[in-house]
Amino acid sequence: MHVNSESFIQDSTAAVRNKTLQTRLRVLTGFTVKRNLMFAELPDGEALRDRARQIKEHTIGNLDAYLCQLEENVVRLGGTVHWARTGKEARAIVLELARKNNVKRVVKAKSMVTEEIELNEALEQAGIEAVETDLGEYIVQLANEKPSHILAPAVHKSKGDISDLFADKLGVANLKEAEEMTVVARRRLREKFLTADMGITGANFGVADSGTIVLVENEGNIRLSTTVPRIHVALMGIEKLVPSLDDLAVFLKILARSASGQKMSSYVSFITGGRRADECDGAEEFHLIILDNGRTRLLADEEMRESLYCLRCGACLNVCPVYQKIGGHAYGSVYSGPIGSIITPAFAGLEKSKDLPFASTLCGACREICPVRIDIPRILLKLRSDWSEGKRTDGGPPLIEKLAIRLWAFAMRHPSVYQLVFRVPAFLQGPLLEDGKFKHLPLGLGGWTTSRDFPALARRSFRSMWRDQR
Amino acid sequence: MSINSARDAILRDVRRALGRDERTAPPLSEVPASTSAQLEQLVSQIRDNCERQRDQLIERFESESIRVGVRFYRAASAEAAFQHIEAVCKAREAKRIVGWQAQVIADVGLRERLQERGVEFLSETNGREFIRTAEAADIGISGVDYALADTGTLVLLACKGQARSISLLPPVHIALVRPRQILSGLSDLFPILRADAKSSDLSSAITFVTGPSRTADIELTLVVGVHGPQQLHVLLLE
Amino acid sequence: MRVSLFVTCLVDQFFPEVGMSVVAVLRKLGVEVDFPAEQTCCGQPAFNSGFSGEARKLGKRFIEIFEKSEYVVAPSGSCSSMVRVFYPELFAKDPDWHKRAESLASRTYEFTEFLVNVLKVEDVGGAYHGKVALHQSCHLLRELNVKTEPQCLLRAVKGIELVDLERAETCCGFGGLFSIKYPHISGSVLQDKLESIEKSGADVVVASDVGCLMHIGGGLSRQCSAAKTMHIAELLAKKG
Repeated sequence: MHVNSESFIQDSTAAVRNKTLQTRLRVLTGFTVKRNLMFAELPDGEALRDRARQIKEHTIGNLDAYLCQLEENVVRLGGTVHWARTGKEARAIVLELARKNNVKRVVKAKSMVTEEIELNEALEQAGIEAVETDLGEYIVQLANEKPSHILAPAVHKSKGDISDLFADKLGVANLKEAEEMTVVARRRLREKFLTADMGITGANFGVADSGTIVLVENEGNIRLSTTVPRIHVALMGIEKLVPSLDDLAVFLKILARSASGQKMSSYVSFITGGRRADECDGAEEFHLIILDNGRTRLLADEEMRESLYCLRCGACLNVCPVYQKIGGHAYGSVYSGPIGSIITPAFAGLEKSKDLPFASTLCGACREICPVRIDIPRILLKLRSDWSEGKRTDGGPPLIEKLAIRLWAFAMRHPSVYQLVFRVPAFLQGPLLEDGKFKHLPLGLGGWTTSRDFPALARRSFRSMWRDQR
Repeated sequence: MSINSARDAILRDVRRALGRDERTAPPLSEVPASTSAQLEQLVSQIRDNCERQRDQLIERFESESIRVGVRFYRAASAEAAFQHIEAVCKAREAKRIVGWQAQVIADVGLRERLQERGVEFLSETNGREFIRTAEAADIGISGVDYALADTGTLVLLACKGQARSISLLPPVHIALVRPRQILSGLSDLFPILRADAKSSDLSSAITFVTGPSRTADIELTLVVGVHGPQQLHVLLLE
Repeated sequence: MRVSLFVTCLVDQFFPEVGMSVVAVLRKLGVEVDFPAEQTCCGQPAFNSGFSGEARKLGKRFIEIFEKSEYVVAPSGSCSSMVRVFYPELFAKDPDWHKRAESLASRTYEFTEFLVNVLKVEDVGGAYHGKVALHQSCHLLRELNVKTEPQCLLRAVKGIELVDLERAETCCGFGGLFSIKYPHISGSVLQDKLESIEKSGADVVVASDVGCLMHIGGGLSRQCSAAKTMHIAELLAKKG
C-alpha cells in the first residue's frame, strides 16, 4: 500500500493552521453526539458490542474455514470467486475481467479497499473510465484528491470549495446550497450508471453460510451499481467475514449507530450471486475478489490481530482529538485516524509511517467508542515499542533519542542523580523566568513554549519539604 | 502459475498465522446448526408473537417510518389506498408508473384504475429494456416481502415480478404493506429468511429500505434524495 | 491505616504543594502517611515512548520500593495507571515479577479514588469559594475507570460553585512527550479546552494530573486568562 506518511509533521502542521479545514472538522463531533444518543437508546448496547467482538474473534480465529465456506456458497449460487494475495494481483483480476468483457466505463461505490489498492489509477491507465458515484467520493475525484474520512470523504471541503469545483469541472456555476449541488450530481451520475458496463463495490460483510455479500449505504449508488451494469465486481478483505445471517444481525444493529448515529442506514443490500435466469435487472455476472494484501500479517501477530475486527465505521476518527485537528490527509494513508495509525504501519511498514503510532495522546476515546472494542491504545504502545526497541536494520529512533532515554532512565534509577537533574536547573532558572514562568524553553523543548508558558521548577522539592516536617 | 495458487497461498498464510496445520480446516461454528424442525418451531413462535402484538407493531412501524422521513399513510380500504396513490400521482404529474407484479397491487386494482386515468402502469418484461423503462418512470410502486417495526425498514426480495429497478430508479417510491408482513426486527426476520431459504436459497438481492435516499457529504448538511428515490411513501393496507 | 505516598516526579519537583496537600488531607482523615525517599519515577515516559526495557528496569525498582506498603496513593491518574494497569502487562512474560506487580497493583490508588472508594469519604472538610470546573484526565477516566469520584469530592466542598465544563471528558492534548514531539497538534487541541474553560466562566480548573494542569495552565497563562489551574488535592485541602 502506498503511503505519504513521511511528511506527517509538515502536513499536520499545515493542517492545524488551515482555518477552513479547522472549521470543517468541527462538525464531526455531531456524529459522536448522535452515536452516543443512539447507543443510550439501545437496551442491550454493551452486550451487543461484546457479542460483536466475540463473533469477530471466533470468525477470524477460524478464517480459513469460513473463507472456504463463503467461496463454496458464492460459486454454488452462480458467482465467481477470485483470490488476490496483493493489490497488484487484485488490479490484474479486475483489468482482465474488464478486458474480457469489453468494459469501457465503470461505476464505483465507496470502497476503502479499492483506494488501498489504487484501482482507479490502474483502470484509467487501461483507458477505462472509472466514475466514483458516492457523492463525497465524486467530489474528491473531481478535485483530484484523496478521500479524507471513511464516511464523509469530502468533509474537508466547504460548500464554496464544492461550488467552485462544480463550476470548473462540470460547467455548472453559481450553485450555493448543498441540495442544488446534489441534484446536479444525481443527474450527471445517473447517466453514468445507465451506460456503465461494470459496477465495482467493496463489501461490508461476507456471510459465509449463504454466500452473501452485504453492502451498507445511504445514497443508493451501491444499489444502482449492482443493479444496472452487466457485471458486478465486489472486492472484499479476508477479514470481512461473518459466519451467518444471525451473526450479521448483531452487526447491523450497531454499525449505523456507530458510524453516523442512525438506527439503520437507508439501504442495506444482500447480494447472493448475480440475477437469476428469470429476472430482468441486477448484474448478470457476480465476481467476488477475496483480498489479502497484508491482512495475514496482521492475523499472524497476536497483539495486532484484533485490528482485523474493524468495521470501518469511522467512529474512532470522529472522536479522536488528534484527527479532529489534523483531518485525514495528514496521515498520508488511505486509512487515517486511530485505526489508520495502527494498520497503516502494518500494511506499509513502520519505517514509512513512524509518526503515526506516536502522534497520539493515548487518551483512549477511540477504544471507548469502538463498536468491537479494539484496544487501539495498547496496539499503539506495541507499535511504539516495535519502533523504539525493534531489532530493525531498516530504521529506528535516532541515536540521540536512544541515548537521551538511557540517560534519563539512569538518572531515575539513582535518586542523587535524579535530584541533580532537577535541582540544578531549579537553581539556575531565575534569569530565564518572566513573571515566574518560562516563556521560552531551551534545548529543543521550544515546541512547548510556542503556545504555552512552562512552569518554573519549585524552589524546594516535595522531598525536601517532607524532610523538614518530620 | 496455476489458477488456484493465490487461493492456496492465502489459505496457507491464514492457517500459518493462526498457528494451525497448514492443510486442514477446523470444524465450523461453535453453535450446532438448528434442525429443520427447530427452525420451523422458531419461525412459528415468531409469527405467533407478531400476531399477538400486531397493534403495537403497527404503531412502532409507523412512528419509526415517520422518524426516517417516510410519508406514511394508513389506508382502511383498497379504495382509500387507491385514492391516496392517485393523489400522489397528481401531485407529481405522473404519466408513467412501474410496478411489481404482486397480489397487493392487484388487490387495489391499481393497474386498471390508473390506466383509466391515463397513467401508464408497466410491469417488467425480460431483457434490459425494463431498466430504461423504470428510468423513464415517474413513480415506482412495490409491495414488500416483510417490514421491520423497530427501524421502519422495508424488506424487498428481488425475483421475477419484483424487479429491483422499480424501487430504485424513479424519483418516488410507493410501497404497499400489509399488517401481517410487519415483524419486530432483525431477530425475527433472519430466521424466517433462513427457513424460506432452506427450500430455495436466498434471493439474488435482498434490499432493506429505511427511508428515502440521503447524504450528508457536503458540509455534513443533510440532503434527502440523492441517487435512490427522493420520496418514499408507505401505505399500510389494513 | 498507613499509606505510602507515591508523590510522582512532576509533583515532587514542580508542584510540591500538591504533595503536601495530599498528606494534609490524608492525615486529617486519620491516615498515617509515609514517604519512601528512594522513589523517583514510575517509568511511564520510557514506556510511552516504546522503551519497554528501560520501563521494566524502573518498574522493578518501583515495585521493590513500594511492595511492602499497605497502600500506595498517588496524586496522578496517569502514574497510578502505569502501576495498576501497565506494570502487570510489562511483566506478563515474567511470572515472578508479574505476581509482584499484580500484588502491588491491587494496593495502588489514585488520590480521589482512594478517598471515595477505600476510605469511603466524600466530605473531607474542605472549603473554597469560587467557580470551579473539573477537567477529567484521560488515564483516570479510561484506564482506571474513575468517573464520578472527583465530582463527589468537589460537591462536598463548602462554598464551591461547580460549573459545567463542555467536553470535560475530551483530552486536553498533553499526552506526555506528545506535547513536545507534536507541539502544533498539542497546542491546537489545547485551544478547544481553553475555549471550553472560558465559556464555563470558571475561576479555577481542577484535575487530578499535573501533566494536564501544566499544559492547560501554560495555555491560560499565555493567553493572560483570569482562570487558574489547581490540582484537586490542593483544592480539597483548602479551608476557605
